[in-house]
Amino acid sequence: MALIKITDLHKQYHLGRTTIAALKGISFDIEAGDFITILGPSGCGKTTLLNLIGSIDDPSSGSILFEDQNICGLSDNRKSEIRLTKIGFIFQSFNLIPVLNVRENIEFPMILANAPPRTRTARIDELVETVGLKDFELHKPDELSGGQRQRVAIARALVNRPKLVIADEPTANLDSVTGTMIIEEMKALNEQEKVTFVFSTHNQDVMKYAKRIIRLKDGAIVS
Amino acid sequence: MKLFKAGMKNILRNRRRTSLNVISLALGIFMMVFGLSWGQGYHSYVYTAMRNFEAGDAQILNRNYLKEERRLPLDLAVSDTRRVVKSLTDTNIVKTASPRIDFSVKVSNRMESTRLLGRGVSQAEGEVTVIRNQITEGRFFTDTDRGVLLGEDLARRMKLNIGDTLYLTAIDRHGTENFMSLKLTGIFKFGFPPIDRQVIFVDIESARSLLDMRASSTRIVVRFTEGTSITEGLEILNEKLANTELTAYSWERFAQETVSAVQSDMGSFYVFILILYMMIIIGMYNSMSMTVRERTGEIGTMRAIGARRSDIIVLLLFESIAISCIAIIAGYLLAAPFMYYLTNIGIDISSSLPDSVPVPFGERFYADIEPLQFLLAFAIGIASGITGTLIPAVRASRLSITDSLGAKKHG
Amino acid sequence: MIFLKIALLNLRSHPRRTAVIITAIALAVGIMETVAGMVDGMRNNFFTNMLEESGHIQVIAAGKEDSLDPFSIEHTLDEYTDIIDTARSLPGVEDASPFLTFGALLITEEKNIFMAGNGISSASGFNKSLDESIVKGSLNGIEDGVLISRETARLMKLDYGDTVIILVEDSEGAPYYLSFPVRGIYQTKSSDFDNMNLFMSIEQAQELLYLPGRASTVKLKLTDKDLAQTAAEHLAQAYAGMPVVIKTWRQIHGNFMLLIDLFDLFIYIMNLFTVIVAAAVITNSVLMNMFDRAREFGTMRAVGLKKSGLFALITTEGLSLGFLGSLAGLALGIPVVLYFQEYGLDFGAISESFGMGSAFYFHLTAKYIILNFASGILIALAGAAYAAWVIIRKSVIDTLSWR
Repeated sequence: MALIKITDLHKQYHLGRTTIAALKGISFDIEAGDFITILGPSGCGKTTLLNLIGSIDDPSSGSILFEDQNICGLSDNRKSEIRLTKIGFIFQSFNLIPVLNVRENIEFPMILANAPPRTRTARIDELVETVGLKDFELHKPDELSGGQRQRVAIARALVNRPKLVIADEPTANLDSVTGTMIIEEMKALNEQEKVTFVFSTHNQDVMKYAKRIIRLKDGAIVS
Repeated sequence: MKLFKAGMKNILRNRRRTSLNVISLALGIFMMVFGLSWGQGYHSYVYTAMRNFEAGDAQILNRNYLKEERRLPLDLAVSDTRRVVKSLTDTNIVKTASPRIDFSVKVSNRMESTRLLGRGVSQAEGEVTVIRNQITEGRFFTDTDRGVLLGEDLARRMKLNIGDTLYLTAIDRHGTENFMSLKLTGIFKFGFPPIDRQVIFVDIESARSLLDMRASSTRIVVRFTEGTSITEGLEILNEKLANTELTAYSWERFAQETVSAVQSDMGSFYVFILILYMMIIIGMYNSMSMTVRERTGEIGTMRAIGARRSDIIVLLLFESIAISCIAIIAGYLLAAPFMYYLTNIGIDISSSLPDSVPVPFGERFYADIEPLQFLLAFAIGIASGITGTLIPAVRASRLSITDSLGAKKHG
Repeated sequence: MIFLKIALLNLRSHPRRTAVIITAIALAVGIMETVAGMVDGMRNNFFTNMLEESGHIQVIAAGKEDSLDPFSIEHTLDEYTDIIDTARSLPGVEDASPFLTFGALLITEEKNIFMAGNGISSASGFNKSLDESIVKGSLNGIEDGVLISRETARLMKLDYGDTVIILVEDSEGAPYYLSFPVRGIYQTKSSDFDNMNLFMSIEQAQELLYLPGRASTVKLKLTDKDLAQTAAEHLAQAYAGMPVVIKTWRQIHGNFMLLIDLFDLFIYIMNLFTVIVAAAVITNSVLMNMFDRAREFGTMRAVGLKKSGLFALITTEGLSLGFLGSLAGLALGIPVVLYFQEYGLDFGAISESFGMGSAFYFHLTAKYIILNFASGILIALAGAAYAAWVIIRKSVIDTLSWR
């Protein structure tokens, strides 16, 4: 059974009187344990697709079944819960909470999920170790390099043991060496923790890590 | 003009922020116009009433009189009043000078009696105060008339009509109690309880005879000629009186309660408005700082294509001037109905005040609108907009072009 | 807890912005506290000083108030001791004392002055403030002499021990005088009061006026001003058909109560303006603060924060700002109120006319401190709630890509 089943997904934006079709009937499945790259030029609909899968946006039509449950049209609170417990996010520009340190940033989703303090401490210790930030755990985001910040974001995305991690251009704001390292880390986590990753990129170099590549062009899958 | 237009367009980009700034500044403008015209009302009506009712422009008294004013000392008088009045009116600054004798008097209608402030006045009193216009029955004194004038309520209470006799008892200059009967020749109404209920006017010759004052009086009330300021007039008079036992005082000395009421009222208003504008300026400063932050990239681009530092400052200043203009218009519109009501219909203040409050608010108190108040509110509105914007604008102009071009909207 | 932590850390990491909002709240709370201190000072003056002097209930001889002459002795209370005994037996009555007021001419060799004579009982509970204001001699001096103010003494060139003549019109309508030694000199805060009043024992006044066993008024002091109505009704019942008028403090000071209401209205309007301007400034600042961090909020929503959670987060920040701003506002306002409570604000001659003495004393009360503190927090909370409402209505995606 597929973890996520996407069927005939459409998304239109309205800009004044013009309607822009960002996605034009996308259908594909995501299996548990996948490491999927969504590839395509700027404006092809990568971000829109990821936002829809991540339930932070609603499609104009079509359905997304997450573990057989259609997440389109759920209430805001229900979607928040799904994001909190089943989905992790990694953003292009890291999006850490500036006033919190590394540990606190990672901890934040666990607090929202009402995890007991002892569980939280253990999980954060484990993740800080995994992403190699043990020496920086009390640093604030603005005291870290781009690569380190993205590692914090990865740890935060994984903290509630989600089934799926969505990463929108996770390497776009990083130099190529760091970018490759981040993808390698994601790949390792995919294999160790059996977490499904879906990430977008327009960097051809990272393709080699992907188990599957979905190419988008003008809002439609080309291969 | 182009910059102003650009400013207008920019403020429409963030309507919520503009609206909140406009609300606070418009209220500030409203308060300003309201407060200033209310204050002008004090000057135009209350101060004028005080001077027209009894204080005149200045008064000349024996230099020791005021120290003992409480006992209405007849022994501290202006002797040879006629000569002093003549020497005053001979100067080109004094229009009219009228002698007065203030004394404590017991007034009786043979049934009841009460103690009032007796005020001996001559025909000239009609030139220094408006008493002539306040007579509702009978008439004011000519120099040959003998009689008394009484307030309307008091006359009614004592069941007296014009021509009826009143009996006056007072202690004269030598400490002897004297008695005199006089006819009621006039009834007045000032709409000001301290005069209407507490003063009885007696023709000065009768007063002199009752009090054995011969040719003297206790004070001379002066009106200056047009164009003579009070300070200037007082200076000249006091120079002239330098070697005598007399001193000239400003009318304000005899309307201390009124002056202090107006001053404390206006003082609190100014403190209040100052703090209000401080808050407004803080609000303006904050939102303009935000505007600058948000538009760092835009400012960088403008600088890159050749805008000078001063252009950036002027652009932002015009933006705040545009906000101020909208707020000023909103403030004026908000104030309009209140101002119309206050200047045309007026409000009844005196009925809410105890009779003992010696401020002549009249039956209704009116605010007095002058174009200058709107101009002042306009200037202060614009100035507070500019003050709040100055620091953010200068900061924006000093941004390095490369930094601001590279600035991300969200870091 | 994490919300409070984020809120406080955010306040610290944007010190200028925090300072701006806190200043705006502090100014508003500061104004409101000062104004409240002023109004309460006026009220306090009324309820302590003015009621101290007038009493809570007065039993007046019928017809006295209708007299043309406020000092008329034509109407007086017969057997006032009976009224006092009845009054003292009523619940809540702390003191009942007779007063005999009259117009008097105080005469020395060279000068004379018209004054209000007050015949008072030396055992009266109303004498406390007069007793405290005596600067020379003592209150007991009323038994065989008179008490005059320092200002009257200066004006009439009199000193303690000197003799004065007091001339009155007696109950028969004939002029009558007696000479009295000055046995006490007093000075209160009100120069109007000082200028007008002289005191002697009621027995001496009765002799001078030829009014044996009579008083013009009996004043009652109650343990609680709210008992006045009931006590007045009891007295009215007891003296039904007798020539007396019974008045409660509300009736005695009707004009002044009206003035307090007018003043209150004026203060409310002023406070309303302050609150609106402060709320606009604060809402704007909080909104900008929030928009500036919209992406941060978008991220939190993306990682699972619910709308209600975001609302709580933003309002927690408003609450913290309100708390700090209100504290600062009280720190500004309370010293001002305390200063004027101690030294008084000299409004000039006018305050005498309002019965407030020559300076106007503020009054600090816990009630207004709490009320103003709460108002400051509420203003900030309202601004933050509005900002939160604006933000949570946006979709997660809009918040994340806020420009």
